[in-house]
Amino acid sequence: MVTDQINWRATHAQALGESQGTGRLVLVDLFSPT
Amino acid sequence: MGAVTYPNALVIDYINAHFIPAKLNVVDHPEVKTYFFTDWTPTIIVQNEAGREGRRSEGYVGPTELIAELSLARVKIALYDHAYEQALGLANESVQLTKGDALREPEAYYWRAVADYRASGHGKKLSDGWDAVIAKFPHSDWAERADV
Repeated sequence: MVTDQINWRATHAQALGESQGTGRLVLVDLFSPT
Repeated sequence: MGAVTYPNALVIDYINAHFIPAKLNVVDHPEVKTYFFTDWTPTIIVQNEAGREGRRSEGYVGPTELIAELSLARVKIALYDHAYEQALGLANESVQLTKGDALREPEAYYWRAVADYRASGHGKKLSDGWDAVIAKFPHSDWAERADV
């Protein structure tokens, strides 16, 4: 699947919830805005 | 990360294919630093669906290095989840994706030997694989770890 941007979720809970049963891992990026 | 790494087409494709990603602003939400036990950004953490951490990376990484990191994360989590055949397949992929990465390629070979051993149950797979780490990357940290 190729898209033009990463489909970031807004919260960790959302990402964790969506990962259930998908076989996909959760990726968390902690960032400071510049 | 936001300027170079995440806009990269290969990174976009790799993350969207294999991960459910969340981007968390530590300035707006400082509590996430406590929750994830870090005081630095960027910090990248990979978890399984139970929320168990398999790997983290602190500090900037470029597109190629990020994909290499994430490929290793997938191997490690498959191993932790005892999905050994899957881990071996992912480790073979990681060996390719880390090619030329002085920091991560030896690690990929190291974990491929572990996955091969776990998947087959044959100790020789581990010793042969680790011998290869020592032969190919004699000055690496992973050669030292494999030299038992």
